[in-house]
Amino acid sequence: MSHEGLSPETEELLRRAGLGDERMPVLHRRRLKGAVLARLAFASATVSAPTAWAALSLAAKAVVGVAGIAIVGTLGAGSYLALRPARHLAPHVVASPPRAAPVGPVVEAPPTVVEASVVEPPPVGKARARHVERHAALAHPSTLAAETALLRDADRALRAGDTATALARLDEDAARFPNGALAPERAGERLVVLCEVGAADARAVAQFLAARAGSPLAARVRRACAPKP
Amino acid sequence: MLSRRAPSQELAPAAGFRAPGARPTFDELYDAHVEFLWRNARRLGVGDDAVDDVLQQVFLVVHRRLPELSMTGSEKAWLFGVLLRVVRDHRRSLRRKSPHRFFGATDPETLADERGRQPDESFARAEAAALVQSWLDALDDDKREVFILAELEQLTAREIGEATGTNPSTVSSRLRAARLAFEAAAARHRKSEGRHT
Repeated sequence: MSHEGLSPETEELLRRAGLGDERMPVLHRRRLKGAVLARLAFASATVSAPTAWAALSLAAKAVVGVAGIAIVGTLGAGSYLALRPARHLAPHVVASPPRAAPVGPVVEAPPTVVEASVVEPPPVGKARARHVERHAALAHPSTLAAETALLRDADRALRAGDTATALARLDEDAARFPNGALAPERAGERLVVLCEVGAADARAVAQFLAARAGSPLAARVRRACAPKP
Repeated sequence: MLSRRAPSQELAPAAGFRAPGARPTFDELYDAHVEFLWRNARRLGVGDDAVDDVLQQVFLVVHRRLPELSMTGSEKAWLFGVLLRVVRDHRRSLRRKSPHRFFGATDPETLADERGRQPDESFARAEAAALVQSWLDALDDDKREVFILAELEQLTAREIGEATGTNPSTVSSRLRAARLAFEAAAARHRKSEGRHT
């Protein structure tokens, strides 16, 4: 590639700026890798079989061990798009009885129906607060494992037809880990649940699919929210 | 020849043990190129608050599309192509949510590596980095992508074409236009500095 076109002064400025010398902090590299691996494991667990959740839990613990920190708080505001339909959810839909006995660990009954305040995305302009919250969360090494457990419970409840419990677990996860590493997975899982009960907001589904086009998560939401024959 | 060659390959110990022609594993790709992708996500204007989200998405796509990686092409070019598509999706998503929001909130002072530098040297570098980033931000997306790959990452025209999905003549014309725009901004800056000294 020819370098004709830039003056020596501009070349010098580029050299002085040292833009090729930036180093990504080692901790940041590890944290990011942990989050990616957790999300890959989640996708694998929800697509393949519920038993894969055990592997995900182990992966979450291993990642925490390797990184020495919790894998949290690496997601942007886009993760909250799909949480919006819960505001339009009619209580009778949420409170619908389970279609089958739950499998896996016994889960407590949800204390309430979905509360808008619980799932409400942080207001626009609160990015700084989220940033602070993410970094504060780094002090808790068990965060990813706890997130994983809640999502596993939600997924198990969904597979057992207990959508109310599934939503309750997702709400709990959203309340405890609003900026958690698995926030997009939570958002996708919520849409799947809402589509199962016919209460998903079409616009939120479209927004989610647009933001996550091509991901395994999007494929799952697409399948769950496709018009039923 | 310039000596601004990006150093990301220095951090690729795993890749060094790979047999010639062997497909890299996900781990090898991550370890060898995460810094390259992180650096360029920021140069492409992804704000500090969104860069992790963008990179996670990049690596999810990389994991899914790894079997498509050509053994004859450039890994960097392929990865940059994935990054570009994710960044474009990110921009579209931001525009839908906040049409008037300025895209990119990277703190230019964090762009240059400051370890082991004297305060005045750090200041000069931060100032230069801020200038360069502001001129990059002012370029059209197409021109900025080509400029970054050619001038900052020192990729070849063929690699840039591979990364951006364009042919070499388009790469050349975009690079020419980008250099002109960049030079114009630099000239304006020098003129303004001259007025203040």
